[in-house]
Amino acid sequence: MTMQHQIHPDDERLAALAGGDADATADAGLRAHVSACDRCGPMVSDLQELRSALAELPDLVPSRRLQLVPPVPPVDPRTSGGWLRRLAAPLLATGVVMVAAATVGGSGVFTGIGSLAGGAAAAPSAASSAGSGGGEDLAGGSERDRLDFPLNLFFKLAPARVRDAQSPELSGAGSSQLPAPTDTGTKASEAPGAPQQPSPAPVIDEEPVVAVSGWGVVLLLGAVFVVAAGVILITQPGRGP
Amino acid sequence: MPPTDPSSPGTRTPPLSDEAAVVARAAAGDRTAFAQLMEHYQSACYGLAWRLLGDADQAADATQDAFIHAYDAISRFRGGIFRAWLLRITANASYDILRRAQRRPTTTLPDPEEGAAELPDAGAPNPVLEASRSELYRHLDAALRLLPDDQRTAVVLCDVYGMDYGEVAEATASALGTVKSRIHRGRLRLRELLAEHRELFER
Repeated sequence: MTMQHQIHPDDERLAALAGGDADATADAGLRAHVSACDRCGPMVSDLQELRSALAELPDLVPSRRLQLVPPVPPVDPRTSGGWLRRLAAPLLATGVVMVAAATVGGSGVFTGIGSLAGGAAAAPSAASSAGSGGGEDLAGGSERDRLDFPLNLFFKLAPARVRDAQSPELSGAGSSQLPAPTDTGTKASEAPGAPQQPSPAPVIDEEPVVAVSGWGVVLLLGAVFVVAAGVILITQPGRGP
Repeated sequence: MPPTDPSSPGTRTPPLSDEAAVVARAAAGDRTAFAQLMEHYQSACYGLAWRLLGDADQAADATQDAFIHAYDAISRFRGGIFRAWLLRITANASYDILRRAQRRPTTTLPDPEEGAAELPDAGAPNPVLEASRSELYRHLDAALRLLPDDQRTAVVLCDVYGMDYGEVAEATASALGTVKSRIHRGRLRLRELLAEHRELFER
């Protein structure tokens, strides 16, 4: 290594050669210079030794104890399971309330009041002309409704008088026709123990023969809600901790 | 300077014997398997973080961050060398801290005579050689801490932990040519800093 060169390669070029960079090692002129230069040869040798020493630097023990696995955040059961599961509780509560309300209301507890209110609204003139008789008739219908429970849940709106028309006593008159006001007394006399019936309110004739009860719809919807909530709770279980 | 791993003084952590199976279990959600991997490689990760950051607390923070990132990402591990994958995550976590801190090391090269020497145990095959290697490592780490942040990061990732230029460029979000230049200048600067300890390289 006696050859001296007036112009040496850039030091970074020598460092690249020491690091084994492809472009530097492929440079035959550079390698020839380094092998013959008293300055560049030792520098490349030093850098190669340095790289070897760096590659041997040992691992170090952490200065403090580290948490190897991140902690699992606590799962709030109220928020687990997504929006569908969060919907289950209010759905279930609503369903239960609706079923309870429909059961109580359809059983007749409110029927009398509702019928009274409905009768007064439907035929105020008739009710006023007949006195309290109209109320008694409707109240009698409520009594039958209670006996027919729960079927009357779904057919509550059908007027009691129309259903009376379907009975054998009134079959000749037709189910959709009410007896004439003059026949009222006769038919009333045919029913033993029945009170004298006042003239029916003509507006009732316009009501359908078969109608769905409002309580029935409520009961049906409530049952659907309860079942849906149960299905959600079963199929969307909350995630455990 | 933190002590070297007492279980294997002066060495790098070798791969687990059944590493592929453990990694597969960890990727499938086995927390015990993941903890086994992190416990095995925590010295490697901490060593990288400490050499990049030059501060024990920050290195521990970076290693902890790396474990969390690794836990989130291990399900997407597509094979290869797990140690290299984990070290890349550690390098990113360390570099994030380094960028936030934007500080430069102020520590001077320590006097080898002061402080307790990290001598290997008496059962080492060649105590004299081991002692000189420990001294060399101490000087190397001290010299690394004197490099500018960008050069130290590039040299540590490339020459200490064996990443190629592309991986270093990705970890430091730098251009390939910039990374090469930093590495070359860092090596030359290290050579200057260690010139008075050349005898340690010759043993």
